[in-house]
Amino acid sequence: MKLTLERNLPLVAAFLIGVIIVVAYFVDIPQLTRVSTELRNWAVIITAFTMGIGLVNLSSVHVKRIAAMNRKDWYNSVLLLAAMGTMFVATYYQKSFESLFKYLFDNVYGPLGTAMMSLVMFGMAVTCYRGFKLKNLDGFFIVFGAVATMLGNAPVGAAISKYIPALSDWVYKIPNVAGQRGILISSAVGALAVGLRVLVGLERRHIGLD
Amino acid sequence: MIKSYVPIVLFLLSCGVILGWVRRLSSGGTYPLRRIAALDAVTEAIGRATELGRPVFFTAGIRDVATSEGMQVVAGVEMLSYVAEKAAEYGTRVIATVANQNVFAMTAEVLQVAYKRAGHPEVYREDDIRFLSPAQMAYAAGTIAIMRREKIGASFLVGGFAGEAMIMADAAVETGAIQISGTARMAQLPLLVAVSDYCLLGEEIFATGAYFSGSPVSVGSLAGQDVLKLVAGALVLGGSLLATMNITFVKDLLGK
Amino acid sequence: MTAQPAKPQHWRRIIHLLVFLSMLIPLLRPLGIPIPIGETSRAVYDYIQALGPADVLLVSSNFSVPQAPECLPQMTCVTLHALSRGAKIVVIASSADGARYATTVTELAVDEGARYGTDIVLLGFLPGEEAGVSAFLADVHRTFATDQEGTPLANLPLMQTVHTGSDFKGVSVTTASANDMDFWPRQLQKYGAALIMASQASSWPKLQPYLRSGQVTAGLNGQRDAAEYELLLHRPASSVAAMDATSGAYLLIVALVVASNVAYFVFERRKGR
Repeated sequence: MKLTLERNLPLVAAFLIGVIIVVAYFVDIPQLTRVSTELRNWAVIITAFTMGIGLVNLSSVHVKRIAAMNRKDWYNSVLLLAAMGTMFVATYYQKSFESLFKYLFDNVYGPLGTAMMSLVMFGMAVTCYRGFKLKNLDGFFIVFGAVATMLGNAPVGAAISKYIPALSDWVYKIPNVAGQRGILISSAVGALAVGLRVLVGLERRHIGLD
Repeated sequence: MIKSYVPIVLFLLSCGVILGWVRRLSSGGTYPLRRIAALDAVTEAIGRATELGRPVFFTAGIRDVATSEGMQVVAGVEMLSYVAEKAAEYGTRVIATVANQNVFAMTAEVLQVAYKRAGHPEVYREDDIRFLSPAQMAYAAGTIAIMRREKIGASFLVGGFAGEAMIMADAAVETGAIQISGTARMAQLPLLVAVSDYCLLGEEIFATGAYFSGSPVSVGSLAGQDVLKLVAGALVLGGSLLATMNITFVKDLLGK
Repeated sequence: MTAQPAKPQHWRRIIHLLVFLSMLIPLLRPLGIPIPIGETSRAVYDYIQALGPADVLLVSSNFSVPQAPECLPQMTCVTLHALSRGAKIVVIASSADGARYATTVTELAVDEGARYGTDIVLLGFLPGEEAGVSAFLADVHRTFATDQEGTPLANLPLMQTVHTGSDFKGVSVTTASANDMDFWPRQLQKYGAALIMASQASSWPKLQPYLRSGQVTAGLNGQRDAAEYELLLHRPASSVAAMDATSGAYLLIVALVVASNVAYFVFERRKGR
């Protein structure tokens, strides 16, 4: 019985909840809409709750690493726990630690996050240098699209030629939209198929069942 | 009571087509699948990592399974099960990083089962699944640090990604790993294509199950998707031609 | 053939240095490249300019710290412009980091003379992405019993006129997530409110189909449109200041693409012959 419950209960629950939400999307029955809204509120609560579980998991992993003391970078775990604890206290008790929270967010967390994001620029420059070659027709379209949209996205494009912003706009509106719509439609169909398989229990590999 | 009939009819027809093909192939039909270079390269990538004596790295991205991109994450975790099974056959570790707890639970379960299926449950280590952070750049920083520290031999970035995808893929390439990536997120696709050795484009990430297992359910589902895409293409072409002639029947019908 | 680990690639470091310099030099010595006003920023400006005292605009902050340099100026410009037209603002955040920026923009608005509770209300963080937004638009007061500071909505004059998505004239979503571009039009369509999406430049291609179909009324493209909006409002700020550095970096990348193609045609193809 335990084996069956463990195996089948998640599938049955997913099916019932999924059907209620899908039917409520198309059909306007007040009672069904109330149940659907409540289920969506549960999803909101579960999402918020999983943040807490993540916090506990992270703490437990790093406390074990510090306690074991057999890794040469154990001090990184100490730093991580100290930073996590400080930010947690400053955010949770924001009213009492308002200036600390603002300081940490604006002067530590903010610049660190922005600095990491700036790595994309360096990576992109390397990728453009390495990959954007006019080896064939595909390469030509890649180079053309990249150069037109890059220069169109900065004032220098308009300074070089008044046609560059118009060209960039054309690339965004015509070939980009055509390609996006194609991928959008096929990805949506793919997601529908996977969602349907998960809903009716045909797809079970992602929860460790065959 | 019913808000609009057109979406319901389209939805039910789509489900019917997919389930119909699943049933057809389950009764013994066949359906040809084209080769996808990125999926063909999976064995090569794992083999290369094994030769180098380095672990394989996998991440299904930063998105949560309970979002509208959840199916991409599910597709990524599905691919992980095949990658892990193959890696376990070769005796190679798979290190997985996750950005949220829902995906952590799925990943742990999938890895354990995959190793058992391959007959090597001893390869599984709890430490090989690392929950990092739901914050985008913290997750990217942690992932890059793990890639460099563990000196990975192959890297799989398949699932739902945001801007961190490119810097993670770039870091993997810098360590010398073969990079196979895939996402249906259009903003990240061009960046991943440019950086990766192989890339699954959009809907190709949903084809993993059919490709590796050949199961009638997965292949039937793909066949159903192909039919739906043909119908969508016909509606786009036909509707555009009619709209050009000022006949907006199709446009009005689909706009309801 | 046995697999070999990669060799160090010094040329990457040279490119990194060039990128760094191409952005640093214009920041230290501004070039003064003129910033023309494009139709996308003009479209958002015109929409907000048409708002009046009877209109309520929902502003949703859904970006994280890494996207703040692009997205925060967009959200600031739209909010302050709408307030200057007499419109009322309800501010929410759909991301954890976004909540901090929602607070920043609300504080800025109050500093500039907006009355909290009457002209602007900050409701706070709304978890659950699409599910949360769907529940919020269906019943605002059920989703948020109080504002971010704990004041009951019944005590806030502005919130007496806002109960569902139908009470918003427009919704301005500042986002770095391509996910939002899928679900906001979907959730908003039955309420009839106009949708403005201010996005990161990398998400701009994703927004195009929605702009073309009219599901999104108007949009802002990254830092460039934020700079144009700042100029339209006669409030040049960080986005305007960053434009020269952006121009420098993009020019460098174009130069690198040209250089790599010249090297390819002159050296590599010759080797192949």
